[in-house]
Amino acid sequence: MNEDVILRSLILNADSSADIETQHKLITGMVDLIVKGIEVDMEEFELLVEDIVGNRAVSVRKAKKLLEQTGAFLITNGLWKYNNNFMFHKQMVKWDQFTELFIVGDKANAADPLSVDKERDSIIKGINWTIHVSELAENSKDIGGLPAFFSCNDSDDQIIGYNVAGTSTSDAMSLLCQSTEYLRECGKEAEEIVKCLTFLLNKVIACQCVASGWDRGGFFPLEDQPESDHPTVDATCLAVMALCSLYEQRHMIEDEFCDNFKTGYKDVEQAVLEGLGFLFRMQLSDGSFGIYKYEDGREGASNENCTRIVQSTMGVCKGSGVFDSTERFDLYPACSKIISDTYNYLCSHTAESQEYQIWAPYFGAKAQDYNIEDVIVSTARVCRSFIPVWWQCEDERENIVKYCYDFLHYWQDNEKRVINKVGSYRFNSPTANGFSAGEYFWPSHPDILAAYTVLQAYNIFGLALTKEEWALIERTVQRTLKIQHPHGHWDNPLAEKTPFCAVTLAAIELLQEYRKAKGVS
Amino acid sequence: MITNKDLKRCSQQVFTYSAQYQAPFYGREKSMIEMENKTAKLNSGEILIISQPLGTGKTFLVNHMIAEERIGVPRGSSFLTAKAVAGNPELMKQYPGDILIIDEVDIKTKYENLLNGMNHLQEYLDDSGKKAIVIGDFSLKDPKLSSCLRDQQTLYEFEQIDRDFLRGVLNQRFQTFMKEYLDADFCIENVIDPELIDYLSPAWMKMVNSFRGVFSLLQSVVNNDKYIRYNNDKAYLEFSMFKEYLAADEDLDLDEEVQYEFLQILREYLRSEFPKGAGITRGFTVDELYQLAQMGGIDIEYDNFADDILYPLAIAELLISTGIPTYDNNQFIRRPAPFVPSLKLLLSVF
Repeated sequence: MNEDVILRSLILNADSSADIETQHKLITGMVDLIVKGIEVDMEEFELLVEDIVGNRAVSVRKAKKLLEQTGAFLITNGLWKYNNNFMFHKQMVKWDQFTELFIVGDKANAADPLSVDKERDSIIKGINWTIHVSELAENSKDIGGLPAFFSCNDSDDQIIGYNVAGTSTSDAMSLLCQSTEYLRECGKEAEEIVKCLTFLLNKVIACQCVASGWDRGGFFPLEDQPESDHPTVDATCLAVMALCSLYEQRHMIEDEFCDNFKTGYKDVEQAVLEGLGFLFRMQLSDGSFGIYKYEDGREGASNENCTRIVQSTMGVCKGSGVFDSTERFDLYPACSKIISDTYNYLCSHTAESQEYQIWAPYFGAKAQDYNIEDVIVSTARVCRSFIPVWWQCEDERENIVKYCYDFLHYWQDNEKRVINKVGSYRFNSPTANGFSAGEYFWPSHPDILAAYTVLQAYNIFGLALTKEEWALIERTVQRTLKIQHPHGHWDNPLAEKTPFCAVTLAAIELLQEYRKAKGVS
Repeated sequence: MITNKDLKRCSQQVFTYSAQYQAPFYGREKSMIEMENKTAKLNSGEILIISQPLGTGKTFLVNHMIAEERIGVPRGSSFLTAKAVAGNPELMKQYPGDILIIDEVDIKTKYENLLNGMNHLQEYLDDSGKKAIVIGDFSLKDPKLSSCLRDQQTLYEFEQIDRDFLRGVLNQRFQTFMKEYLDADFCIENVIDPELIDYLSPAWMKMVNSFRGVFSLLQSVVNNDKYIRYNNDKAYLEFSMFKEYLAADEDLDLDEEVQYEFLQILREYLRSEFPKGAGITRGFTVDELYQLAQMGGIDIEYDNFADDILYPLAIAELLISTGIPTYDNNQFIRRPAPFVPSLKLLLSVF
């Protein structure tokens, strides 16, 4: 048995199992507070007791007694402190050693001690989780794809609800298709992987509007935006990019896993082409993109997220090979024009912020009017969409590098302000009667998105990074690893134990880009 | 038809009491009108106070007002907290727009942070001329705390949870998260016994009843396989399930024998004097509850009674404090008397 487990269980010396559990929670809570630098006076201790007891009616007096009983903590001058003379079986247990025993999360996530590639292990865990929840969805038979929400229990994760989330399904497919080099190593049978990809592919395509008319070709967000009666730009872009990703990897999938994965790809090609058709109709009169544009001309507010994601999608489609296979060579210049339009719009709608050129939500004019974490999310997403511009307009490369440097330095200046903050992209949905009053939002970790963008710029644009800038990336990568749940997913940043596909995809993308940057991928 | 399986699978969404599942907003029209008017009329340095019990939807209301653009706060603004402002007043300078929002001014925060937070806020408003909306529980009614804030307006309208309100919220939630499974003529009484809805929203408890209290109870019972099996039977939540669940104390883990003893005495008292909660018009003082304990044969010192029995029962949400939290004798009394029985306690004695 693990020595740490034995040592931990011996330190917890209460008489009943319920009291032992309380001791464990108290110690873990105290360690967490002290590690964060919080002074634990009696009031702080009282709040800790309230926080951990749940339905158990434990008095503060009893909790104090239980904690003192362990011998690990004592009160000095009104503050709880670790007992530096804490001895256990005639041996001094130093603070560092003690925290190793009781810090939650790190232990659970500890990789195989023989493995030195934590990032790789983390990616594979994430992939396995994605395959697992896809199987759950497939086996439930009454949900047509992945839901927006999952619940995470100690033993397993479960699906919540019965409504499909279009973007969740697309994100899962993108995650797997972008991770094909890791699929080989994830320990799953080829048949299982193929079944999963087939399921996700079918469900992504099922979210597409097939009715003839204005909305044809667009992809519905469904549960992601329950009020939406129309397909949306963002859901369509995510679906089209996921389909292109699979299309690009089809030969690899066939070679590695299954010769006859699909008998043909006409359905994928058609879905991509129709999706593009929808996106072309969604362009706003000023060249940018919002969440939707009605047939009668009503336009959603132009926003940086939709504009940049369309820009990315155009580039991905151009590079996918679909246009060549279908002999739709006319779509190359059409996509290129959109890329030019969106890039021009982005360049002329930066936000004012000291010496940096960055982007605020909804093309706000002044960065100071927005939460810093939201500005970082907006700018990170815009900068990562410059790849198609890089390849299409060589003259713009110097500017692209400058944008990326500006972003990096803005993030660096504000690093401490965004740690543990949650970025939000907020939007209204296109209902049958107009844009919804209610807002929906995508929560995200700003630092994870930022680090990915910087690493992508390093890998593709040749952005040079100083030692301090690398240290910033390393810190973010370590934090990303730390917050991965033992089941393999990353949670909705707003709530623990709520697995979230989008955040899992973002984390895995970061770790993959990091490994590329390090030359191990 | 909604089956047990359907309900179990969607219970976290339907009965959510956090922002996690983006549940739709419902009701509170009067609150919104008052809030819109008062916020629009706030002068430089003025503060709108929203002081209501925990878990009643204050933050949800403010977020909704922002999303609807009914108050002049930029969309997407996240709120400051008393603790954050106390630790780093500079944060207020980064807040966008003219109206700051300070949340969590409540018993979950150290008193020192509440006091410093409010003092820093007032100083900043004096310097900057900005305005603020402060959201918290009854701690904001404590004169020692509220006197830190000079020019206050109070939001008076805040629709409390009564039968119609709860019914409307539940109906909307089911329509939002389970519409594919509803019959055309669905009404909430198809899934929840009307008697249960009544008991979850007693009139005498309006002042302190919370969505968090009601929905956490609904989730607990639905998630318990003993009461709602994972099968294709028609889902129907009955009062008897809740009574049985709560009487069995399955979710309860009292610490001391004497707490169980007192709880039994209290249950008997409620059962005999206030059957089904009828007649409860005010909360019980510590003296009254202590007398009850002594009459029941519990031998305990007065101070120990409060510390070892009453307050832990309040933390375990068997008793609900209706008093104003206050700082006294170097201690923040977070859950002062009077106390009323919580839904959990009351439903277990019916």
